[in-house]
Amino acid sequence: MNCDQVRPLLGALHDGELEPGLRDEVEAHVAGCAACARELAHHRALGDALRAHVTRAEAPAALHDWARAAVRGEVASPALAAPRARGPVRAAWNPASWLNAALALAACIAVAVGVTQELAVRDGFTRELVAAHVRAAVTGHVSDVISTDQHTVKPWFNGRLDFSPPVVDLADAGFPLEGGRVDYVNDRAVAVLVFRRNRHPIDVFVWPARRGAPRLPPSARDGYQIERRVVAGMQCWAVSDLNTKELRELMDRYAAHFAPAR
Amino acid sequence: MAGSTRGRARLTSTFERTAPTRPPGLSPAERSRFELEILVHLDVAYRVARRLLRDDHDAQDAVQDALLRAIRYFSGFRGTSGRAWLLAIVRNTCRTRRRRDWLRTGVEFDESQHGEADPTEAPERFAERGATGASIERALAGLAEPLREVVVLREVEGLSYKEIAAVMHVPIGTVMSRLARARAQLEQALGRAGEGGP
Repeated sequence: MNCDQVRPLLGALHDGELEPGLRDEVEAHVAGCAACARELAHHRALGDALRAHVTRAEAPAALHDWARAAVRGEVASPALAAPRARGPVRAAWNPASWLNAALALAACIAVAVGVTQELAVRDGFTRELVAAHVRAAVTGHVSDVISTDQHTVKPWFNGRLDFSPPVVDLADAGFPLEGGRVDYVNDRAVAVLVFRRNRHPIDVFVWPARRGAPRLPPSARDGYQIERRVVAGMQCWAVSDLNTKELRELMDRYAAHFAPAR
Repeated sequence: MAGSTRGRARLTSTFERTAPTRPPGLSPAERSRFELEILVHLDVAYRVARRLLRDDHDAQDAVQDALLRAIRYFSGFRGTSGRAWLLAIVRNTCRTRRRRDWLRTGVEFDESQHGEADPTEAPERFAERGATGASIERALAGLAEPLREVVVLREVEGLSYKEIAAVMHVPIGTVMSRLARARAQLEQALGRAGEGGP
C-alpha cells in the first residue's frame, strides 16, 4: 500500500475499526513510513487531549435515584406522563400561567410555520410538476410506452418503479389513455399516466402517498391547471392546459374507478 | 343522569384504547435487563444531553423524558448496543426540545449564548485544566455541531462507528467522513493555537 491509500484509513486504524487483514497492511506501511506514522501520532495526540480535557460529568445522584425509581415503575407511569415528565429532580418547576400562554402561542406558531412551509413546498412542487409536463411536451418525450391499453401500460411500470400505479383507460368518458412514462419529480421516480382530452395532453403524476388526505385546493400555474387526489394510497397530481372543470372530471372518474366498493 | 354516566363510560373506554394494554412499566425480567443494558449508560446519556442543550436543568429534564420513553419502548429493543439505543432516544428528545424552544421564543439555539463553563464543576478543576483545556474547548466550539458530536462520541465516550451511526441515524460512511473532517479541523485549530503557545 502507498501513502495515498493509507492516509484515509489512519483514522479508522486509530479507532480500531479496520478489519484485521487491512489493519495488518496499514500497520505494515506505517511502520516503514515516517510521514504516515506522524499522521497517526497526530490522531492519537488529539484523542488523548480530548479525553483528558473534555468534561465527563456524571449524572447527579438525584437523577440516578429518579431513574432507578422510574425503572421500578415508581414514578408517574409512562402511559400517563404528560409530554414533559415531572420527577423530584425538577422540583423547582413553576407552572406559571404565562408559560401555558406561551405554549399555546407556540402551537399557533407551529401551525403557522407548518402551513407556510407546506405552501412553500407546494409552490416549489407544483413548479416542478408543471416543468416536467412542459418538458415532456416540448421534447416530444411524452410517453415511454405508447398504448391505449391499460393492461400494457400497467405492467410496463413493473421493474421501472418500486410501486405499481393505478392505471385505467377512461376513453369511455372522453379521456383516452395514451401511454405512460417515468419522470423524476422532487428527487424521486414517479409514474406518469398520459391521457388526452381532444387535443389537450394530461399528465397524471403518481407516487405512493406517505401520509395525509387531500387538503390542497386545485391550483393553477403559468396557465396550467393542477388537480390533486389520493387514489389507492397514491398521490395523484394531474397537470394540463385543460380547463379546471374537465380536469376535475377526469380526476373524479380516475379516483372513482379505484374507490373501494361500498 | 344516565346521560352523564354513559358519557363517562365512553371517556373511560376511549382512554383505555389509547393506553397500552399491559400495565405501564417493565416486567421483573425486563427490569433487570433494562438496568444492565440501558440504565448503566445514564451518565453518558446525561453528558450527551448536556452537550446538546448546554443547560444542566434542561439536560436532566430531557434525560427523564428519554428514560420514560426508553422504558415504554424497551420491549421493542432488539439491538446489540443498549448504549446506542438510549443515546439515540436522548438525542431525539434533545433535538425536539430545541425545536420546541425555537418555536416558542423565535430564537434559534445559539451556541455562543450558551457558555462552555460548567456551573456544576468545581472551580479548581476547571482551572487545573489550564490553557490546553480551554483551547480544546474553543476548538470544539468552532466545529459544526454534527462534527463535534461525532468526534466527542468517538474519542471521549468511546462509541464504535456502528454505535455512532445508530445514534445519529446516518450511514457508517457518513460517520467516517464527519470524523475525518472533525479531526482535520481540530488538528488545524489546535496546531495554529499551539504554534503561538509554549
